[in-house]
Amino acid sequence: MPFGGFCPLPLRLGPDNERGWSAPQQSRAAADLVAVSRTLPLAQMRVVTSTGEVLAYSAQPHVGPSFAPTCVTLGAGHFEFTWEAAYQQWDEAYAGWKIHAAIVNAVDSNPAAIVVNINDGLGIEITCRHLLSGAPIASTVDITLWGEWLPDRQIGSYDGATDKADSLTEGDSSYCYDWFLEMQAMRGSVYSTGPGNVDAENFAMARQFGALNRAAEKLENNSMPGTSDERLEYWVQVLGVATRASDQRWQIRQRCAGKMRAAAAEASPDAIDDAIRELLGDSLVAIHRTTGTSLSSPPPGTRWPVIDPGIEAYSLGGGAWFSERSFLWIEVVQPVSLADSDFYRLMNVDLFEMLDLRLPAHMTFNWATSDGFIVGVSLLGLAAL
Amino acid sequence: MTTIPTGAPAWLRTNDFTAYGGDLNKKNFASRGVVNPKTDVGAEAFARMTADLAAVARTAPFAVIKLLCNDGTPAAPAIEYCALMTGVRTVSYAGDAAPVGFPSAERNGDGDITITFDASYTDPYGVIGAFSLAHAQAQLLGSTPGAAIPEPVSATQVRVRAYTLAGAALADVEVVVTIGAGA
Repeated sequence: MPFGGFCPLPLRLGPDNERGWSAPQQSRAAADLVAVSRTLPLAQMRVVTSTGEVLAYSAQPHVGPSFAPTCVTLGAGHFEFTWEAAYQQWDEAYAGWKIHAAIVNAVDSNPAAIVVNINDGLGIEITCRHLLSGAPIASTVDITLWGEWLPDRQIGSYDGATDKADSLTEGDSSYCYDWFLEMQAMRGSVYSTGPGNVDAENFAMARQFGALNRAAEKLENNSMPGTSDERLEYWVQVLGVATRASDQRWQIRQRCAGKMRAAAAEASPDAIDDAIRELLGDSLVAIHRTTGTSLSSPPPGTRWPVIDPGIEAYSLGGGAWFSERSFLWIEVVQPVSLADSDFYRLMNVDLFEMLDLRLPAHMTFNWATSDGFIVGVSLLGLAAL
Repeated sequence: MTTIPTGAPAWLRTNDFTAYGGDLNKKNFASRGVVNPKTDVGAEAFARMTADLAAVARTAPFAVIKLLCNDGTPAAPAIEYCALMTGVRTVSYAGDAAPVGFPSAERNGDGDITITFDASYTDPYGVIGAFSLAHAQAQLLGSTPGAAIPEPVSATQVRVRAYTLAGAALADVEVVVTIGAGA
């Protein structure tokens, strides 16, 4: 119930369409904001090329012709603009400005053919020529630019997370409103419930008590890594979770929760599977184990010294044995939104560390993407060799 | 538990304000307005925000691509910049060796290339949305007068040709292409 005086910020997600904002709705808003932020133009401007006058200018950092770079005429029908290397963001930090793409078109009656050149990501050079004769021509043009200014957004930029859920405590009502009703009931019918001093007192006290409830809930949530916010850095330290500056907080939270879950329980297959799910989130496709095979009739990949040694070259020696029942393989997919470096770090560092720590000593593990094949993951790979 | 967002990914352009939490009857809880308008967000402003988000999502391009035709030594074009709704790549890649999730491009002839997109893309929550190419614009970069003309050839492919003013093929050019998708 996020809106109104009974529901002070921060927003708490709830399922009521008329009075709230649900987790699925917030998730869609976050995902689409990320999507449009990636492809919306960096700037748009309209220029009269004969005079260099900028008629209109809208850019992500600012709006208005006074903010536009100066038009420099290089010759007939040939001019350029150069922007600053960086512009201030809303938080007053400077972010680098780089132009990657541009589209220019004439917006008058001239039959103009226009080409544009991008100079070092900071400037554009435009040439206007007559469509038929190729002679230089003056024209009024609209320019649209794309490129970099704000950092690439992620759903976490808008408090999105793949496990976002409606609040169980304030999703349908709010602490404050519950206390308000309590105050009215406690004071009885002798006091007015309409607008006035008593109503204001009730409201003020309800807000105070509501804040206490929220503080208590916040304390409870911070006591576990999966719901921790202010204390997340504490959990990172306690659990020894590696982080990078580019990590989103929900990713760190899920990583901590995964490690906590794995550490809190016996290293049973279910506990390890839960920890893997928590860590990998939507990257996980399936966890594969070979189970249920009779010990007296081991699966085909089982190798026993003397009894079924397999190919000599594979022997580890020293009475070591191998069985699919001691091999865990995890099928994953790389979300498009996850950069290669982040994905490989998740799989080869975070997952590796967790499984190396939690799996029994006799078990080995590996992972493969669901649209590819990694040698050594399956018996097919070994046989193919 | 993975959250399943409402609506569809932005490139389908089907989301209205309700997908983002807007409602015709949106109101503050128990009809009590904000306490401090300097620090609080009211239901009215939130409703406006959801409507505006729906508006910009309907017109934002799905892709903005800058590519370089390789005609001197014929080869697949180099995609120098590719901003998709699903990810941004600022490092150049060969059109015939596209990274997963990014479009490929092949050379048909001098200044003549075809860009191919996937049939569907996935949003950050794992929701898959079909891709259907609905709009295309192209711009010639450089200093040679001419034009770049996009021709959508299927729901996932667009062909782009670069011409001189005389109508001849223009080789080794840089081109910007913007793509709008639809349901």
